[in-house]
Amino acid sequence: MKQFILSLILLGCGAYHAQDTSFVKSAYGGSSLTVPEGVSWEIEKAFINGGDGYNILVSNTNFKPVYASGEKLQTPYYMAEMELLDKKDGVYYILYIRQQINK
Amino acid sequence: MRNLLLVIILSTVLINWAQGNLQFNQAKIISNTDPPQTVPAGKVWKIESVFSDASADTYAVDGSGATQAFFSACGIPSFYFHYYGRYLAINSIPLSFGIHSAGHQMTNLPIWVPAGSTICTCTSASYCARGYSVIEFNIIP
Repeated sequence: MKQFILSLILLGCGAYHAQDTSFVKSAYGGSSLTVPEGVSWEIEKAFINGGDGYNILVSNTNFKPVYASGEKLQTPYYMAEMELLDKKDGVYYILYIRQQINK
Repeated sequence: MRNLLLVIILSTVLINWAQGNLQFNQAKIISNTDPPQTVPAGKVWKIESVFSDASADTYAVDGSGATQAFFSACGIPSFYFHYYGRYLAINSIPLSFGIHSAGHQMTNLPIWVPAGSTICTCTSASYCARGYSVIEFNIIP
């Protein structure tokens, strides 16, 4: 019985966490990504790259905490961290996004 | 089987190295009177600028220097240095950041310096860099 309850709890936890998926998207500075219907996005971390061999971590304060379904995630055309790049033309963002299915 | 495992391990290691993710940590200015600097583990330094301490900022390479032991504190033997060369030594290699009289800079900036590397300065006004500025990055996964 005890094992059965434990299995149920584990299944429940698994099902709950299965609502979240994480993926990586890239976008040029000044462009936008639209959050699909029925989900919301949260930026876990974000990097910028100017075409050199390295990415610079940028502060999450440059983004909203949560983007609702249908909302546009606008990548800033400029931010202070870009000063750390050698090339500032054609800067693109690498966004680590956690997607949640709306309940 | 063993080869397959080796390939998987090597691929994983290479992928991890290829990340190249950096986080700004701090900007530093190091004077030529500061002790030798070692880049800490888990960091990388980007030398952005090297300062001049000479009244003249350009120098001719031929016949305008002297053999000196400027970096003996870092174990670098005597070396022929050129006047106004703005020297630093990175990992026991004396590098000139001066501007040649022909117009070009002897060593291009920026320079990326990996963890564990040592940067030495010297204090001669006629030969050595006055200091340098670096940006320190954390290497992150």
